[in-house]
Amino acid sequence: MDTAALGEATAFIHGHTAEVLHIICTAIFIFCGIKALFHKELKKVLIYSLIGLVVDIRSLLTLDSSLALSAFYYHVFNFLVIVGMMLITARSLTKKAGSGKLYDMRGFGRAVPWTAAPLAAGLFAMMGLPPFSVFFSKYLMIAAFVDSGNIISSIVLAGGEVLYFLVFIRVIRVIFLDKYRGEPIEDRKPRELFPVYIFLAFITIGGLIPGIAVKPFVALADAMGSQVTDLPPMGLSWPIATLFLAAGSALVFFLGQKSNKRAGLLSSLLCLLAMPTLFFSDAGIYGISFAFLILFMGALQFFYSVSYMEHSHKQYRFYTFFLIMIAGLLGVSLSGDLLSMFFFWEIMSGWVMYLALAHEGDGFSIQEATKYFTFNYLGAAFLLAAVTVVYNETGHWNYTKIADNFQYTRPMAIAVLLLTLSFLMKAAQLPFRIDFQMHPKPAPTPISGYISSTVLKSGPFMMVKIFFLASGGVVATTLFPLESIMHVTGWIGALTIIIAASFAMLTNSMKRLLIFHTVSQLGYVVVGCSLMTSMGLAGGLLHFVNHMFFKNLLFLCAGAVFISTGTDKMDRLGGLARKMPITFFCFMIGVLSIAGVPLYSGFVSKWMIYHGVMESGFVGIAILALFGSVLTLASFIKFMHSAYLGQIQENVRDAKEASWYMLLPMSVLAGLSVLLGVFPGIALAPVNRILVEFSMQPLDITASSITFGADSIDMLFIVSILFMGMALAGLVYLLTQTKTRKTHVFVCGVGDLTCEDSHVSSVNFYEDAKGFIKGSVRIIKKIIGLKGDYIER
Amino acid sequence: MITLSASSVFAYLLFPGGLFAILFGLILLSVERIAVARFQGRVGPPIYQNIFDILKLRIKEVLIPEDVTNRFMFAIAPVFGFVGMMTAIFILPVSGVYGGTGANSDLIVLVYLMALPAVSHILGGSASGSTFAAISVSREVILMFAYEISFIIVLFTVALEAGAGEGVVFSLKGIVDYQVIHGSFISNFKMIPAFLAFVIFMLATLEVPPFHIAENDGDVMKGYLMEYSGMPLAFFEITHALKLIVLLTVLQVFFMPGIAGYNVFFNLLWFIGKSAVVVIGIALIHASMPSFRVDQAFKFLMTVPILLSLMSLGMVLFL
Repeated sequence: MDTAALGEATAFIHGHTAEVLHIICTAIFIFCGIKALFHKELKKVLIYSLIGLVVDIRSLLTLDSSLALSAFYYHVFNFLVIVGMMLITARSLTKKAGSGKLYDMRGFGRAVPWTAAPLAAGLFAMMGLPPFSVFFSKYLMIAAFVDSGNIISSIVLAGGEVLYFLVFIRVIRVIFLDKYRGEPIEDRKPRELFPVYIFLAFITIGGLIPGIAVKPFVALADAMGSQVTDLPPMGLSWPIATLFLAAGSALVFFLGQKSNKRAGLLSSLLCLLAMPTLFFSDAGIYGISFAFLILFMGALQFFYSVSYMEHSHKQYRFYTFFLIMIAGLLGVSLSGDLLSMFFFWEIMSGWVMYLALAHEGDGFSIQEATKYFTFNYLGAAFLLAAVTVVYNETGHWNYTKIADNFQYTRPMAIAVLLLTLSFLMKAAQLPFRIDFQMHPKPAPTPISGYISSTVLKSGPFMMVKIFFLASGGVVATTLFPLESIMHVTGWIGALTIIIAASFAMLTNSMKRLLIFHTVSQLGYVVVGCSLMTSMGLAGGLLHFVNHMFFKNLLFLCAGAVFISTGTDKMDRLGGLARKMPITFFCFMIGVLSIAGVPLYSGFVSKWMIYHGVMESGFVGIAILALFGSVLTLASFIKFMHSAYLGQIQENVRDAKEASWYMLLPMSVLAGLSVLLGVFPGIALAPVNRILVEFSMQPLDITASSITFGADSIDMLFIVSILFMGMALAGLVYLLTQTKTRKTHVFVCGVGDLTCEDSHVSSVNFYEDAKGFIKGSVRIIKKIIGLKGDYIER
Repeated sequence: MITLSASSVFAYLLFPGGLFAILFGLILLSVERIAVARFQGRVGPPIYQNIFDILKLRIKEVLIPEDVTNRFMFAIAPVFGFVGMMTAIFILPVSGVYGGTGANSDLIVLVYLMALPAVSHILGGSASGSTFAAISVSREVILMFAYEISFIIVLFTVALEAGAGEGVVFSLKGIVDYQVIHGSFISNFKMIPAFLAFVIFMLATLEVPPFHIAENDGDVMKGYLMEYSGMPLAFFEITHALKLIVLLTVLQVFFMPGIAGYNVFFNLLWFIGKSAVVVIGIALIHASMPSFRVDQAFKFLMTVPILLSLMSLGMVLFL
């Protein structure tokens, strides 16, 4: 045998050894994952997942670069530290429970919080969520893959961890969220807990100063003598407002334990106090205006919570998590580079949000919150891969530098596609199942309203930013299909408007109806923003603001109704307008705004979006979008009639008007909805500056009028005509003051009709059209794979 | 920028909006009643009947039910539709007579204004607390849901055709000007299906048979109007008359804005004549058709006018 053939044969065997090894490792990974998912003993669950995850990253070793090697060492080291910490905690929990079985420790997180907390932190850390060090080692791992050109494996690697995510979330659900049903037990003494908390502090500090923490491992990798690759910079930029709120959340956690009122008002105050810090931010008008709205809405939300959360438990915990979530969102809007953005993104949609959503602690809310968390985790996996590719192609984290060094290559196109997809997922848009992406219904209403109105906006917000970065230079080459991505995004938005609104027509739950409409209205924002023309983007951003106000208003009204009647089902309500007149009027302003009736906000922004869409020549999108507002009106009429009007029902008989803690935020939002309807210029002035920042031609605006090209509208003109009509009608009413008489509703002489008999409830409201809508929904469900009666519930 | 000059106040209050439109609408409603009666071999009411109805309602007692769910909403609901229609007439151009309000004569604004009468029926009926009203409100919404789709498609078809392949014209005045130069759309074979769809939309909006469903006296006893009396009822009647004029004007703006010369007076007569002919056509359909059930109407509206309008849209886009 000559040497060449021998060399070939060796290479052949060598190649196949790698493949066989790969298959074995994958098998172990899956086996360990499934074993951990169903194992009853806590200790074994932890050990199985450690083995599975470490085996999973062995492919790093095949990459042969110092980056891969340091990622490997760092990752394994982190896992060992965390699992060690968790095993110690598990041991003390086992002692308390008297058994190592997971289900014997049900609810221990509630009974002995200080003893169990490191376990929760460890589990969240293992998922790769910030602010723990695994977040960065996981990032380094993905970066090593991307660096060696394996984008697909990096996505598979990031996505594959969803299996282990399910393992960890199961442990968290059982130990921390389920109810404790045993004798009261005592926490371990601080002295005994000290060593565990040292571990915890270690991984947290590693997560906060990643650049320093990774140094030893880089040195180790270099010492092993592998090919030297530069480590991507891992410095985080911390906006002042984020730091302020993060520190404030600790304050709320410790000071707010005594009273709900104090905790709520303190949180609200913190949001207001954080506003001035925005002046020192250098994030540009786009980020700063979003941050301002985030804080403003947060302040209203906490004020409302003072009354809403009164009958809940451990409110300070809810406020703390909520505040950290807002801090994360602020970080997303204010951070100047993509890595910090991702870090804060994970804080915003990670464990803090999960714990806040599952606050009520009943089975339904835990289940729904888990579903939402899982979906967010999946979205973040895409995001991580995409963010890494962007760094790898441009060599910078900073937005302006990314724009300057933007490469129009195929990996970059994949990255932009992935980024768009994950931002669309955050906004719960179509290609994925709407019901999984929708935030959970049973969560406390203030946070539901906040997520709907503000947090989900981070999707379109970042989408616009990415489109802007990508459209800086040449577009529409074959390598870089930005135009197509944007056009498809527009269609996704338009279809989402229709489908989510038709689902809303059928649902019987107040909050689910509102959530479906959030998805539908975000469709308008996505349609407008996907155009990236002056008119389209301005319309999209104006709707972005308008939707914040009216959607939050509707949520707060629904929350007030829920508090005073105790039900969320519309068919159990009726005649509320008599008992809660102020809530009813706030609600009506919200409805008229969301349906886009002139004089209320929502009209102008939709007008701009239609004009923008038609300017770009997308007739189909325009028709769908315009039809969407008919559907919106129709489903809200059902809501209005069956809950607020009609005859008074059983549940409503003792209903009382909401407290002023609730009414004040509601009235503020209602006032803003009317104000922006008449003077859209107030919100359009910053939008115009954003257009300039994005180097687009600004619109020609005054306080109430908008002119761009041949399109123009003057709201004050329209409103003054409308008012003239009203004055005329009022005058006629006054001049023809005739005798009035009190009678009863005419029922054709039927004497024994009860209120229940004569009320058309929400279930029967669209009976005649139900067949048609249900038929179409059935087809849609077939296409996008919805199962069960999720919508109708 | 408020540009409410004396001439626009005149246009709003007296002509072609306001008083003129109300009187003209009421007379046309009577004309329709007379025509239906003649088709059925009856004599019918005198031509001023509907005006007298309004005058009579002015001095009638107002009955307010005790169990009204929200009194304020009940009282203010009729105004919504009235205001919307007054504004719609104000911004609509009448070809050769009145040029609309320039910048604000916009198709999208028109769509939202034209939905206001239905909104006012819904709010009023719903707030009255009557079961019959509730049923009729639900029917009204179902029908609105169905006919708005075809209206929207027709609207975009017209806007695209008036743009002549170079974008769209959203300005109502622009649409009229285009047709005055290039010939009315009704003589354009591409627009015939859209015209038919629009006529069906008109019948459904006006609630004449075969779409006399939401306020059918036969089964829901006037539906949302049931608890209304006196001046509020008169407002609903006036709104109905205005709605007729708005629809006739929109029909003429979209499909037949041809002018009879450059004399304003003759153009006005031409406008009145065209409107009267259309109304008599509506009366013929009214007299010869029974009414659909609501589910039948829904199915009909979801298929026929939508297909017709899509046909036109396809031809405009691809021919």
